[in-house]
Amino acid sequence: MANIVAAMSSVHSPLMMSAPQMADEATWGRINTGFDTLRDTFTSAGADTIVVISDEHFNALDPRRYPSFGVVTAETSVGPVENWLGIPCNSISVRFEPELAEAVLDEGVRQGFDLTRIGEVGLDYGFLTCLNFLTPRWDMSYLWLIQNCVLPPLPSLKRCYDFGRMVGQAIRSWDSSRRVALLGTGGLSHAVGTPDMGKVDPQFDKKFLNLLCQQDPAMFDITDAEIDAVGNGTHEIRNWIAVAGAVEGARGEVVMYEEGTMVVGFGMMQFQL
Amino acid sequence: MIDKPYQKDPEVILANYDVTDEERARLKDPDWGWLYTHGIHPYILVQFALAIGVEIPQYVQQVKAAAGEGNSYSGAC
Repeated sequence: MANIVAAMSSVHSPLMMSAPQMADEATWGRINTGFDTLRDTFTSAGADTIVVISDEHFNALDPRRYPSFGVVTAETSVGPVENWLGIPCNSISVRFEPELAEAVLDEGVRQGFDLTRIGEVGLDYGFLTCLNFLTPRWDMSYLWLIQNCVLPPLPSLKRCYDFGRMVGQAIRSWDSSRRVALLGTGGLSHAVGTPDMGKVDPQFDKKFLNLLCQQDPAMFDITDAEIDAVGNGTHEIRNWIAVAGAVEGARGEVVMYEEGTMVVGFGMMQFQL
Repeated sequence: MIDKPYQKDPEVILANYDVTDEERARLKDPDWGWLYTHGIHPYILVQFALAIGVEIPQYVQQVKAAAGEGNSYSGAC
C-alpha cells in the first residue's frame, strides 16, 4: 500500500512568482530557506508523489460550476493559466496520478463525500506557486484536490478536516508502492481584491498555527465571520486543515512565519510523521 | 485568455458578454471601485486587473476609495 511520508502547508502568494522584489533581501532569504526545509523533508522521506490540496481562483474553473470538493482526474495538465505570474502561460507541464484520483473518488463516495470529478483543468497559482519552489524540475507525479475556499457558502472547517482524513485513508488504502507527500496551500491571513488587500493579522495567524500544530479541535470553532474579519483569502486555511486531517494525530511545527510580506501573513508548517 | 485581445480591443471581447451599457463602459475603461461595489467577485476583479497590467496599489486605491476602508466584500456572488 502507499504511504504518506510527509505533510506540510504553505502560503501560495502569487507575488512570489510575479513580484518577488516586494520582499526585501532578508525576507526573501527566509522564504527560500523555508521552502528548502520543506523540500528536504519530503526528499529525505523519499516522496515520489505530491498531493496538493488547494482552492482554484476562477482562472480555470468557472464560478458557475465550482465544486465544494473536487478531484482532478486528468493524466496531465499545463499552466500557468494566468498571464501575470512572471512566467509564460502554459510553460509548465505536470503529470498527474489519475489512479490515485480514482481511489480518492471511491473512498470519498464510500464515506459520504459527494466529490466532483474534474477531468480537465489548467493550472493556476493555487497549484503552481509553492511547487515552483519545491519541485522546480516538475519531476514528481501530482494529484490536485480542490476545496472551495472562495465562493460562499464554504464547507465548514470540520468538514475540510474530515475530507482530509478521508484522503489520508484513500492514500493508505491505495494499492501502490508510492510514497506520498501532502501539501496544503493558501492562507494565512490576507485579503484578495478587497480594500483590505495588504492587511494581515499576525495574532490570528499565530493562534491558528498553534491550534493546527497541536491538532486542537478548537480550530473548528473559528467562525467564518472571524475569518472574514482578517481577510477573505484567509478562508484558505481550510487547505491546511485538510492536510492535518490526513495525518490525524501527528503534531506539527511552524517552519517560518513573517508578519506580512507578499500581502499575506506568510507562513509554512510541517507535521512530524 | 482575454488579456491581449482585451487590451487591443475591449469592445470585441465585451460583445461576447451579457452586460448593460453602464457595465460595458465601466469595464472598457476599468473603474475598479465601481466594479467592486457592484458585486464582481474580488478574486475575479483583481486578477482581471493584473491580467491587463494594472498594479495592485493602483487597484487597491480605487476600491478603497469607492468602498471605504474596512468595508470589505467577502466574495459571495
